[in-house]
Amino acid sequence: MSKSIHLLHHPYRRFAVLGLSLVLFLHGFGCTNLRYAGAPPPSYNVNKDLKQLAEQFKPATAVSNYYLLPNPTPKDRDVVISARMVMINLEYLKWLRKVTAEKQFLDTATDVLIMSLNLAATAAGGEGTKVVLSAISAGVVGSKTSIDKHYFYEKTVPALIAAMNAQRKVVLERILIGMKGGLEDYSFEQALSDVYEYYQAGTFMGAVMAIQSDSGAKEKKADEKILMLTRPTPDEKEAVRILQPVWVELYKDAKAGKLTQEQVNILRKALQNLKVDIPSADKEVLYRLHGLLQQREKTAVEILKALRDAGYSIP
Amino acid sequence: MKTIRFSIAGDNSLADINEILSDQEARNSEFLDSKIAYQDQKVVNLVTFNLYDDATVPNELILKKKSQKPPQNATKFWEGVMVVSKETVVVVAYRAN
Repeated sequence: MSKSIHLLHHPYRRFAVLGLSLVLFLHGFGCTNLRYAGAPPPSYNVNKDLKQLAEQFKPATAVSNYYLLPNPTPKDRDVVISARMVMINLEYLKWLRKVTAEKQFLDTATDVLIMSLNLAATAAGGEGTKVVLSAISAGVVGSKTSIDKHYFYEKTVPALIAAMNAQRKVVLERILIGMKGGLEDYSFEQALSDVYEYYQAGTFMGAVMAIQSDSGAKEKKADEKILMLTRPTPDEKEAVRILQPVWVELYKDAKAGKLTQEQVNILRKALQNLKVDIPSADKEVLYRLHGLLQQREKTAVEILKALRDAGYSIP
Repeated sequence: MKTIRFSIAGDNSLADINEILSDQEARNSEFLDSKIAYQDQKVVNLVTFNLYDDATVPNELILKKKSQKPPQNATKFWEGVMVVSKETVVVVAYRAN
């Protein structure tokens, strides 16, 4: 008992205040109206609190402290990685609340956060810490009940979040299994690496990569070169505009079988000016030149110039 | 139908994306859809176009956020999530009638 009281003074006092404020905040959340057409409000809004939590856990310092230990134990390892996981989970849930109102995803993330808080409480030891962590845990549980409204969101975001949760679970299981072992089985460095991977799994990019690597329907083949489009320059827009009646005229003649040899020769010369391969069949020449514009192999300005230089009369 | 895919950086505004897509459509192409993808360590919009084999230019393309009022005299033809100004946004694509 006296130990608990002592712990609440230093350095846990600040942490206790922080935890209490977080719980109060989360309690208040339940009364907050939903803002964005049914999506939950930015919720936690605990940037300040997270900073203080970060100070409390001092993950970086904990890492250095770990290496100062003459005979580190698995428990020392677990204190560091469980603290980091709490931080990651808090941030993840905070972020998740910004991007989705899907209750199932929030519930999953909340459950993982609660579990990690309990894990940290166990690893950290000390009654004061346990009390505070349990209080936060209870607050998080309480906040879940306020998120009852479902809001339609497009499939992609839920898919990304589902991928994140799935990836996080995979890494989490590895960490939990590792924490059951000794340092020789699950080293501190490996644990840190896994925690970093756990963080990565909960990122937007991590989810996209996971989907891309896992999905049978890959959106982008490894060898496919995708050109990035940017805002067109005024010159480019003007060139596209000037070229449009040229295509209309050429296709009109081509589809009527009235494309003259002179026209074909001009098109060939234009392709030559553009230093691209030239098809042997006359009927392919127009498609080739037009394709350069459509597929962005050449700019509209270049194509317009090549046509003019080849002798095509363009106003 | 011949299709082609391009990417558009996720830091573009919706107006910028609309302009970029319209510019491609002016090159006798038709915007079909967009999916979020990962390219060169960036999250991008992977957009697909149908390439016309003539000089057709589709009617005006209008992109709106789902939360915005739909335009008049236009028909919705696609809805999905795009990365707009670095954030995921539900976007609806309309074609002027």
